[in-house]
Formats: sequence, C-alpha cells, structure tokens
Amino acid sequence: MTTITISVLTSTAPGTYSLPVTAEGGGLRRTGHITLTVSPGSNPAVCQGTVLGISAIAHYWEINRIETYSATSLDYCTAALYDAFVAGYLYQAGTADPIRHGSDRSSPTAWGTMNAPAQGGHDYELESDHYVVAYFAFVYSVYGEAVFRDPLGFSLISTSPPSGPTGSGAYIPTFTAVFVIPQYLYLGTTVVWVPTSDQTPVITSLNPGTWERGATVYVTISGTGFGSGGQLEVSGDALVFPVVLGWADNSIQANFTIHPQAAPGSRIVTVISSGWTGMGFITGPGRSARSNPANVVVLGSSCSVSIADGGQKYSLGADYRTASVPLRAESTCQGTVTWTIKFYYQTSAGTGPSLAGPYEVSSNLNETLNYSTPPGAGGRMDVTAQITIGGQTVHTATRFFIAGVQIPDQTITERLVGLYAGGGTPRLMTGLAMRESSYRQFSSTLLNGPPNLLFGIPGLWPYESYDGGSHVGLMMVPTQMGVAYDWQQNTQDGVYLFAGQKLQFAGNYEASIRSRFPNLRPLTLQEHELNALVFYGPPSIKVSQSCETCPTGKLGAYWVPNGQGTDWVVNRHHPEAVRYVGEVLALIR
Amino acid sequence: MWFSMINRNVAFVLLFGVLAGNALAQTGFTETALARAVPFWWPTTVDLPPGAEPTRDQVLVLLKELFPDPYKGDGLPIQDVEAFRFVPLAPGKIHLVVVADFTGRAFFNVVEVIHCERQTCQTIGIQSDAPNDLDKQLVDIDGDGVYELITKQLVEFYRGGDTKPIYTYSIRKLMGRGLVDGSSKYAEYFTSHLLPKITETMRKWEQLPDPTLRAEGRASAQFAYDDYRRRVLGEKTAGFEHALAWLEADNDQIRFLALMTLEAMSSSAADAKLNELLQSPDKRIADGAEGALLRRFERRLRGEIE
Repeated sequence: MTTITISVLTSTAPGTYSLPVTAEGGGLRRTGHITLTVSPGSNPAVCQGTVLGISAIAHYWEINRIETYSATSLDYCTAALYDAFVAGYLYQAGTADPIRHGSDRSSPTAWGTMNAPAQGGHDYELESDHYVVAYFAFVYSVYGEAVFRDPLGFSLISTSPPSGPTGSGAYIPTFTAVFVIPQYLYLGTTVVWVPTSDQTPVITSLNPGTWERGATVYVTISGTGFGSGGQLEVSGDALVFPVVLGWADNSIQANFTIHPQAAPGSRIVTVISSGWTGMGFITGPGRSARSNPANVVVLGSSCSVSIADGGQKYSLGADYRTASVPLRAESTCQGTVTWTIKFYYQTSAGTGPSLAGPYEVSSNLNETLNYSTPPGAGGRMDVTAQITIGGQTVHTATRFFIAGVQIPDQTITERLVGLYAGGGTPRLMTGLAMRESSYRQFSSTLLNGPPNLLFGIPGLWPYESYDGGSHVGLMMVPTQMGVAYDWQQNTQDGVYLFAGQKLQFAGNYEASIRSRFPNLRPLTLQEHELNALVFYGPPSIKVSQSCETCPTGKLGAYWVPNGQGTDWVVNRHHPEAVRYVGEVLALIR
Repeated sequence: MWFSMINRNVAFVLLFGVLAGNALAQTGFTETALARAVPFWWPTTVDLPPGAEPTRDQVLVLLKELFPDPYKGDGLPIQDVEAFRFVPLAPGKIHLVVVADFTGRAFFNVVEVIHCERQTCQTIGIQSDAPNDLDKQLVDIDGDGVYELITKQLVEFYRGGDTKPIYTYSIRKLMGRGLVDGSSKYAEYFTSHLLPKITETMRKWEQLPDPTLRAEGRASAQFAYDDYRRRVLGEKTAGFEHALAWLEADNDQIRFLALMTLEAMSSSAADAKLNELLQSPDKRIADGAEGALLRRFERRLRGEIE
C-alpha cells in the first residue's frame, strides 16, 4: 500500500510557492515538491478571489509507475461566479511530446490524475496549466446594452465586448435575451518533476536451489529491478561459473557450472544490476546495485572427476611407429568421456613445426582406454577430455609426450634392402643411411654431445641434423612430424627420392656427357648409382659449376671422362662428391 | 717449379679449357632469354611500396623458367625457394637475391643473384651453406649504396646429420659475371662481425666432453680461423704448422683438414708437402694430395695463388 501526502499552502497571499510532497510505501519514503500558484483576486474587499494551482507527481518504485495529480481549486465565492479548469501534461525527460495528458473543468475544483509505467533512470515532469472559466453574458436590455459577467474582475479578462452574440443561448429570467459564452482565463502553469533512479534488484526466488558438483545447472532467478543487464556473483570459491543466458528486469536465466572439485556447502548468489540505461547503475537514495542474497547449496555428491595430471613421456612400441598411451578419467559417477588428441612437434631449435590431429576417441568413466598413437604422430600430445555425467558436461585437459625408441640395426637393414631390392647395389641404401644418420631415427644426444632436449625433457627424440634440425631421421629428409616419428615413411621417402629423382638426374648427366664424348661406354648400373649418390647430397650443387680445365667444362659428378674422352674416371675436381660416395660405399652393411 | 713436382698423371688437364678468370666457388653464370615476361614487377628501388614485393610463388615461377626441369642435361632444376630480397649489388641495378634449393632435399645451400631486363635475365649462383639469413648476409658495408653478399661454407665435407656446423665466411662483391671474394677489402668488417662467430665456435667446441668430437671440432674451428688469417689478413702461410700437426693425427677427418689447408694456402712449401704426400701409404691421403695439387694448378693458372 502506498500513500501520497500533499501539503498545500492555505495562504491567500498572491504568489508562487514550493511545497513538499512525500510519497511512502514498501518501507521506503520518497520526497518531491509541488509548485503552487496563487492568483490575486480582483475585489478583495468583497471576496478574496483565491485560486490554487496544484501539481503533484510521485514515482511508485515497487510497481514502477509514475502517478500525477493536477488541480485548479477556487474558493467558495470565486466558485460561485466561475468554473475551474486544469490541463495536465506528463513528459518523460528528453521527449518533446507528453506521454500522457488530460484536462478537467469543474467547480469549485477541477482535477485529474494520470499514470504511466516508469522506466528506471529517467526523469518525469508534470506541467499543469491552470485556468478560471468566466461567463460573459450578452444581455440585450431594453436599451440593447451588453452586460459583462466578471464580478471579481480578473485582470486578464478582456473588457472588449464581443461583436455579436455567439455560443449557446440560454434564458435567464432577469434578462430578455441571453447568450452565455465561457471564456478560459489562463492564470499560470505549475511544474513538478521526479527522478527515477535504478531500483535495487530484489531476488524473490532462485530455482533450483541445490546444485551437484561436476554438473552444469540451468537456473532461473526471479525478482524485480534487475535492470537490463549485470552480473551474477557466487560467493565461496572460484569453482562455480555462471554463464548468463537471458536477462530481463524481473527474470534471469543462467547456466551454473560447478567444478567437480568444488567444495560442498552453501553459496550465496547475488544479482548485481548495471541498471537500465547501459550507463551503469544510477544510484538514488536508498538504492543499491547489489541485490539481496539468495542461498543455494552445492551438494557433496560423488561426481568428482579427475584425470591424470600429465607430463608423462611414453615411447613408441614394438612396431617403432606407434605408442600406447593409457587414457583414464576417474569418477564415482557413471558417464562418458570424449578424448580429443592433438600432436605438436618441432626440433630442439624450433625447426619444422608441425601438427597432427585432432583425433577423437571415446571411453566410459573409470575405464582405461589404451590409445594407440597414429603412425607418424609424436612429440607433444595435448589431450582434452569432455566428460558427460547425467547430461551435464565438464572439460579438462592434460598433456603427454611421445618419444622415440631404439630401432634394431637389423630391422633397419631389412627395410632398406627391401625398399631398394631392384637396385644395382641392393644394399646401397644401408650405406646411405649410415652416412646420413649413422642408422639413427632417434637419438638421446645432439651432435655435439649434450642430451637431446625436446620440450625441456631429455629423451630419445627424432635425430636432428647439425643445423638445428632442418633434416631428420635415418635418411635425413626435410623435417616434418610424419618423417620424424615414422621411420618407415622416412626410409621410403629417402629411397624413393634416390631411386626416382636422383637416378634420373644421374641418367641425364651421363647422357649429356656421352653425347659430347661418343666413345664413352655406358656406365654400369652400379657405376650409375655412384653418380646418383652425388645428386643425393649437397655436393650435387657443384656438379654443373664451371671448370675451365675439366674435360666437360663443368665440375661433374663422381664419374667424368678421361682426358681422351674414351673412358670414365673418378672425378678429381670435386673431392667433396668423391668423398661422400666413398664413405657411403665404405659404410654399406 | 711446382708443376714438376707432380709425378702422377695430371698433365691431361692442360688439354682442356679456356683459362679465363672466374670465381672459384660460384655455381655458375647464365644468361637466359625468357619465353615470357618476368611474372612480377621488377623494382627500381630497395624501398618497395607495400604490396609491391612479389610472392614466393612468383619468384619460384621465374626460377623455374631459368632453371627448368630437365635443365641442360647435367644441371639441376630449381626445387624450391626459401627466401628472397631485392638489393642493389651493382650501381644502378636492383638485383633479386634468392636462397634456393636445387638438391630436392631442402638444403637451401645456393644463393642465386638475378637481374632481369625486359625478357633477358642474368643469374649467378653461389654456394652458401644453410642456414642463410639474407637480412644479415646482404649488407652495404662501405655505405656506397651497393650491397655486399656474405656467404658461408661448411668446413667439413657433408657428413649427413653429423656434419659439424662450423663455417668459413666470405664477403663477396658482384664484379662482371662473378661474385668475387672481397673479404680482405672488408677486413675491418670481417674482423668485427664475422670473426667473433669463428672464435665463439672455437670456444664452444673446445668444451665438448667427447674427446674425438672435441678434437675434430677444434681442428675445424682452427681451420676456419686460419682461413680468416689467409684470406682476410693476407697471411699466406697461416695454418701451415697446424696442417703438419694434423697430418699426424689418428683421425681421417683431421688429416683431410690438413690436405685442405695445404691446398688453400699460397706457398711453395704447401706444394712440397703435398708432393711428399703423394707417396703416403694411406691411399686416401695420396689421392687427396693428388687432387689438391691438381686444383692448385688450376688456381695458379687463374692467378688465385702464387
């Protein structure tokens, strides 16, 4: 119940007065002012001729409504001779047109009320125009004269008679013929305003009020004064995360995710309103952006969830290509886990950064999934677990590392011989791998002796070339995760490059020289391979380097024509090429 | 005098070749008429406006026209481009400098210097072992508006992943059809900017725990330092005493460094020692000495050594 009390000055002295207005309700009290205008009477000796102009406005915060009162009131003698008239206009601050208006004509008091919904943060203004209504009677006496009916003589009344009878006719007994015409005599305007600061948010209900750990709970908060936005605060710890889904002045919808490790017990939820206008909460007397507390309870349910902390290093298994990594999420509740796995690899100097994945596998809670890494995937293994219990999900993450393994020399040899079985020197690739990597796909040390550290962890990591790892593995192929972790891919790439491109380059080289030295015999397949070895290594870039004293005018590969152009001899102008080939041959297994 | 000391069959080298001067290490000069226009706008200034620089793919398209597959029978086609930069390497000309790979194994150990006018391009390629950084290796040392190119070469012959990352450095100037070694001309810059890399390498390898690796690394780093003394400071016989000591080492790698030292220095004493080594019971050393004498003969013909 709200009451409004308006105090009105009863003085009869003409003038303008400001009077206090008090509105009460809901335990709050609000004050404002009205403006009172008293117009002077024209014949004070006979009658005071007092007119009161009244404007009053109030903001009823509990129903969020503006109500007004406008009145023009006449004293008894004035009321006998005139009517009162009032016109009220209610404005929302900043608008040109009134949001409400109305008028009344009566005697002794013309009055009216208006109401409108209040929008928090806005000012409202009431303007009341006050009039007295006078009656001009045009009386055609026997002499045909007009008679004015303005006994109190309000100064604003025009004394000029109308030019002729207008208005409604009426019979008055003392006159022969009468026309009565009302005239509105404007006396003044009273103005009053009220500000509406944002309301203190009030939570009346929060459902549900009990939450389970490890769950995400859809919560509805009802109340008033929430404004157009704000935030939700949960006391206790940082393990309960609200996500607002909808926010209205009287209702908020939010998801609250309760971490599995959140402590059971009471929490307090508070609405903190940021007001209506988007400019922040507009504080008024007795107003606060913070709501009353609403209590909820986090149940000490058994749905605690955990996965391994991570950091462990796993090695490739018996196939030297894949590793088995146990993935397990622990909980006393039943549910499922979706594991998302990504791999990241780069050399110790940051060369060849490469990714694999994401790969997705699923398991049940409390079951161990032995995840087999894909061939060619290794390095850092980033794991994300999406755990679902009773329709609610929670995410957690961990990280492992995949290192290499020592591959037996015999296994490498069989692979290389198998890949190059059709070659002129079937075991040639073993010498090539020895020269390129000393038969190492993985190594626990770097070239100059220190431990091979990858991701800050010592281990048997992919064997890197001398320059920070531009090349990797048994055949020293350009660094990528796939060839760093899959020795079969590494050897295949190296052998295919030799058997495809390098033997072809050697063929072009031989054909070009033989076209200029027709007495040269064709190289045997085994001899041909030695030229191809030069093209496999960096010495290849000097093969076509100009050489004025060389038979071909160029530096050449392993075999060059002799001085007479009648046979092939080992190239003495390109010692790096010859030495590389010699070392490969010497290292054949 | 030195020729008479060669007592194995090397005289055939005189039968071939026009003995014109040329830079030793460059992979060659070529001039190519393109079948079509250069696939990008050739800049006229170093300060390219935003977006004016060609893409790596456009540069690769140009190089594929210059070094197609197959390329001149015994040459190598271009495989990939790692980096490129436009700088003036000669007065009034903007050159495209490219770190390129011709090996198919992403070694990126060749720097190609390219200049195109209309549809004719001149290219000069030179070995510069990876990793290369054109921002640091293209420098206008003397401030004349024309850049110099710094190249690097591994001291050891390539040994796969075990190759030691120890380098010699050269400051090269584009002269005619060659990138001439001007290291001695820029001795001050070399000493202040490149020598510290060598001395740091010497310090680093000296600390290795493995005695074999330490000995090999120490010798290679010393070779790089002696190379600085010979080519930059002009000390023609620098390293001779190290070569003599290394010849006694029980390590192939180090003994080969001795041969490389003797081959590189401008000294009749080096010829004498190499001739002596022709009789070495170690056939690899004898063969190596013979090759070194042969190459010294060629260099002498070009006037590169006395």
